[in-house]
Amino acid sequence: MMKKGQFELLELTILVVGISIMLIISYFMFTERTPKLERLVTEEYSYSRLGDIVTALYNTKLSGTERTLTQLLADRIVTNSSSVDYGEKVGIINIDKQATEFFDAYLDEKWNLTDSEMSLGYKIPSGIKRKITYQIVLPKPSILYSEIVILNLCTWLE
Amino acid sequence: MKGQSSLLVLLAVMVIMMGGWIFTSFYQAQIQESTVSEIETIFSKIGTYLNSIKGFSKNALILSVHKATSDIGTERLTFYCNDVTIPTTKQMRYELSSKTLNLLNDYIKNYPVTDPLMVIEIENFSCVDTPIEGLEQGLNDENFTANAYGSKIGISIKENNVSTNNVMLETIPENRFWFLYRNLRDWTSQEGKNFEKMVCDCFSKEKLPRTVNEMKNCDDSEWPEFTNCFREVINERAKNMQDFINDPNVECSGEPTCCYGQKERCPSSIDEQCGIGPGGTQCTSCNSLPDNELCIDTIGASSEKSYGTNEKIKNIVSFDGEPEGHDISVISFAPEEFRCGGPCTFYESGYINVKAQFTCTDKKYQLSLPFPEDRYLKFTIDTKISLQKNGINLRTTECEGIWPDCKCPGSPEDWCTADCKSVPGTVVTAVPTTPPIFPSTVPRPV
Repeated sequence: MMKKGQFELLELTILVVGISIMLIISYFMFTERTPKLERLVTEEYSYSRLGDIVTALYNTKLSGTERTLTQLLADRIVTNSSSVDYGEKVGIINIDKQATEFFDAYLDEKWNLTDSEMSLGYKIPSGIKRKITYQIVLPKPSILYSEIVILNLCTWLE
Repeated sequence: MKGQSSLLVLLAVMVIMMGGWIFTSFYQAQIQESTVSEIETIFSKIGTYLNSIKGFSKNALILSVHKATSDIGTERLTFYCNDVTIPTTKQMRYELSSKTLNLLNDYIKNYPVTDPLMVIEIENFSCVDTPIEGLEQGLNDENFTANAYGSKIGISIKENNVSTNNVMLETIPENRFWFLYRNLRDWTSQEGKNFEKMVCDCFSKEKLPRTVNEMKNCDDSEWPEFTNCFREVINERAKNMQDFINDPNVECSGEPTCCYGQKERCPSSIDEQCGIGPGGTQCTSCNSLPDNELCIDTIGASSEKSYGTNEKIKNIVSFDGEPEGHDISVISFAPEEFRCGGPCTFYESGYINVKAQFTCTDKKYQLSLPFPEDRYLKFTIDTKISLQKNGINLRTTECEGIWPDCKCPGSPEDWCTADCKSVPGTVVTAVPTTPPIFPSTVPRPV
């Protein structure tokens, strides 16, 4: 027969073990670790998606002209004008409008595209803490050296 | 009490072990999730990098071709250098390919490849080719293909490497480089000689000054009639070129770029035909392309063959300047008194070296070029004509006097004379093979 003192001790031990297990589980369940992982996955997905969008940007040719959007963006930077003349057959193309339509189709109104001299897209709403930036490397028409220009494509998560 | 203490210690050890086991299990699971996430990130990054570099390369190729076509168009290649000297299709293809290759590799060199997780290496392209099998049928008029070979993209993460070929077969749209080349080539083949003849017509007695012996440039006010005539011919030829191309979006213009002329004395004959001039030292250069093997034919070969350049042109314009002498055969001569008679012909000779360039601008498309204002494709060709002409400034009077003191009245002192005959007399026949040096103003018996 178990003595009364021993029984109380066993009860106490079970209580301590149970509380310890609950504390450990709640440490992993309710601390920031799991949300952090979720956030990482979400951000990684968004970054990967931006990569896909940029790949499309490199390869998409506009109807009416057979040039790629990256080519048009490079021309926009060289001419420093939102509308660029492509000759008597093609006419003037509003590159800002074309780029806006392209990015809107993928990112709604949650994007902007900037470099030191150009800014396209939308302002980041106040209070947004999570934004993802992807660098687009563009070849730029150059006189002597084959220059490149880096555009920052930014999107944000609510 | 002793038994209770032992149980308590045992239970405490159990609690610690269970706690440790549970903590470790959850922690390991956490680490595994992070590792999976990291691997996913790396996979995603590799894919993104490969796609970005390939997309970048593709656009760099397009821009390189645009720049290369524009550069060649303004190189002022000589399509007519005393004869038709058009660069061949193969030479043009080589030039376009090699220029594009250099520009493309410059772009690749500038691609930023810094990433803390991996090492990215992009090998240069070894060959760019622009196949133009459809040139004669006009299939390359609006667009053509540019292919780039030999580049590899390598990505290393620690000791693990991933590499892929970076080969591109791209259509270059809205670029009429080959259209302009084909038309300018055909025009020069058909009209080059006419241009030369028209320049020869400018180089005539009516257009040259009596007293000034040298033309130094195309705006020389001392030879105004010739330079004006030359400009008119160029304008007419430019219009003819534009009509020949017959495209509403193409505009052609021409301008003289170099003029030099000199009147000479005492040529061998007074034939008014133009011949190829001696060349001299001014306005003589012609710009041609070398003959090289296309890299697409030599991929895998150790070296490229190259051949001498300009041989044809050098042959055409060369003039050794060494007189070969002239033969004078005396048939008979009687030392008696002769009366001079017959016509006195005074004449001058001369040569010119002139160059003109013709530029055709295609306004159908603007290229992606670094010039904000004017990004049209321009194709400029150079033409050079060296002419020698005798019998410019002819004047004929009647020979007077008693031989050997025959005189040609009205003879300018530095002009040459001929045909002042002695009557009666025997004949001395002069058969010069190069311009002889006759004494000025002294008639010679014939």
